[in-house]
Amino acid sequence: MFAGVIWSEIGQATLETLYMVGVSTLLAVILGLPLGVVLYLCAPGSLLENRWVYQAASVVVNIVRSVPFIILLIAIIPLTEWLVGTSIGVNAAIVPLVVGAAPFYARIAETSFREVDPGVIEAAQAMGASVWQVIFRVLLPESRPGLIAGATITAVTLISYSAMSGVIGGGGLGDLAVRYGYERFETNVMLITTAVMVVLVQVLQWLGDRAALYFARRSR
Amino acid sequence: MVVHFSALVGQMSLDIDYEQRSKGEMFVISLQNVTLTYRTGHRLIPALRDVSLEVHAGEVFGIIGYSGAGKSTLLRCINLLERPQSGQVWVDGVDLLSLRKRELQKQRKKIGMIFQHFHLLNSATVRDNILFPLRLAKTPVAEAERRVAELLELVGLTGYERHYPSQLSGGQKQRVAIARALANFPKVLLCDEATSALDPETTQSILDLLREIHRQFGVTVVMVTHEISVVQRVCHRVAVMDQGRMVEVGRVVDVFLRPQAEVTRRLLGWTNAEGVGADLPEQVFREGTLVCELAMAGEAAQSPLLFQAAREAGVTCSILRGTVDAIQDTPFARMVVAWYGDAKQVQAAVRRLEAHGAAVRWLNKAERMLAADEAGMK
Ligand SMILES: Nc1ncnc2c1ncn2[C@@H]1O[C@H](COP(=O)(O)OP(=O)(O)OP(=O)(O)O)[C@@H](O)[C@H]1O
Ligand SMILES: [Mg+2]
Repeated sequence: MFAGVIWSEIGQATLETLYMVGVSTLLAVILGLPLGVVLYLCAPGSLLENRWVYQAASVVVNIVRSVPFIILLIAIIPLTEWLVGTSIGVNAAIVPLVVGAAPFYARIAETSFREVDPGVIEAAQAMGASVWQVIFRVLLPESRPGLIAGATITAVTLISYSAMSGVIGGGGLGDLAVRYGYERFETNVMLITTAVMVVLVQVLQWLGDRAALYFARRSR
Repeated sequence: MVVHFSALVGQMSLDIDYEQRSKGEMFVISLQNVTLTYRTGHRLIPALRDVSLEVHAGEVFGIIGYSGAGKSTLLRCINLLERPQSGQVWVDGVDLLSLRKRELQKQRKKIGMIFQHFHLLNSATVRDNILFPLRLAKTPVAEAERRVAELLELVGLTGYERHYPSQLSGGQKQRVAIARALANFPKVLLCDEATSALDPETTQSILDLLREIHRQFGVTVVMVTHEISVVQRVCHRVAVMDQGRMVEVGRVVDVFLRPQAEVTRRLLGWTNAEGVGADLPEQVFREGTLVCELAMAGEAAQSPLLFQAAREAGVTCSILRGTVDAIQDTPFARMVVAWYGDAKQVQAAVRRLEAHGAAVRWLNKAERMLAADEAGMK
């Protein structure tokens, strides 16, 4: 009875979710990585030690990360409207997802950088490398497995966050689940969308693990 | 009066500058009155206290001392990985402390460095590790590739281009690190405990490689170590560090023959911490037996000098403990000798040994004084 209509809707929602998660992971990494570099470089005892910059960046990251996503979602509606022109729909959902995930990724990146052997960085400096060269030729390549694993964690987290954005009509599987399952008590739809999300997470994690392992196996 | 005084001060500082400048230009490495204090929380750790160091071009220079003596800190001042709070650092005629960041980075390309734990890029192949400094120096690709092949051959790792550091043994990793350090034809090679993480056999092979590199390219080598045998095998001169001070510096043979500082004697194993000669059992000193330490280098170490001297003086002796090995290619003998016979005649025998360049130190307290008295009378 529901088959014909719903399956196409589920397919559509899956694509929307993939799109949202894909774009927002990408943007979160693009914004979070430099922020992670700043956190790492300005940390006490690091290459460009700077207490004020580090504290400022750290506080901003902590604030964004401690606000529950559902609140963040609503709180930044003005920003979303200004950026995308609307506060509903798939594109509008990407804004809060990125704002929520970028600081998260920045911390993961910072942690990965800290795991790089300081001796290797020192060796590079002894060879006459500048700070930029240290970042691009040592820090980033040496922490690649950690950065990839971090991107996977971020993407997986974003799948469940993206479901929450259904609350503001963000589209995707979460939206579908809310509309059919929560508002109309069609439990089947809720179960199916949840199952699809489980599969997505599994596939994503598997891919991420393989990629991280590929680079980790070569180094160390 | 005031004018006069300030003029004098001006003159003095001019002289000092001139002196440091000329030293900076005379030696490949010249550190003048370097002081460095670490601050951890509220504690101040004086790692270097007014240390001056001069290394000649083409020299293999050792820095030795116990853990925490400040050896690494001193070495790291040479390429300013550590910036001293006061003093001067000259390398290859350039006052490094006066340089801006960019210029310092340029100078550092002339100073190679290797470490105890190799510090290779784990994410890069052997080839990419060696290419690293060449890329920093913007070497043209074809030339860089040629250089990598050349260096790999030098360190005996041809065919390992595509290996990752994790696939190499410690000795092989250090060879890659050496190749990397030499990539830009450095004037100076700094080694911080380069063999301390390796087994004795690998240590020997790395030391051989360093000697070979020194022989082929005449690169000036400064090596920090806590192993006296490393200094003995490859260094021309050695500095001894103790608690942030340089307590002794000189040719290795001289330092080994006549160690001046207590720390040096301890490092050489001539005395134990209490200052008792070579921790001999008390019985040895009974019945007025005269006991001395004896060190001889070169010809003297090879010939039967000891027994000749004893025979001519009409006394007998026995060797309680002794080794003959080499300081680089110079034979070096060290022994503890017990003498039997008339004290005056023993003195005569010992004086004959000293005339041949032997270093003597009495282990009986009274006799040591006697020797000192005699020296004072001369
Ligand atoms: N980054 C640092 N911060 C604070 N103290 C330091 C630092 N590096 C070294 N020190 C201290 O400075 C002193 C000299 O250290 P250094 O590493 O030069 O000794 P070392 O002679 O090389 O010893 P080892 O043989 O153990 O390597 C030690 O007391 C050490 O604890
Ligand atoms: Mg050290």
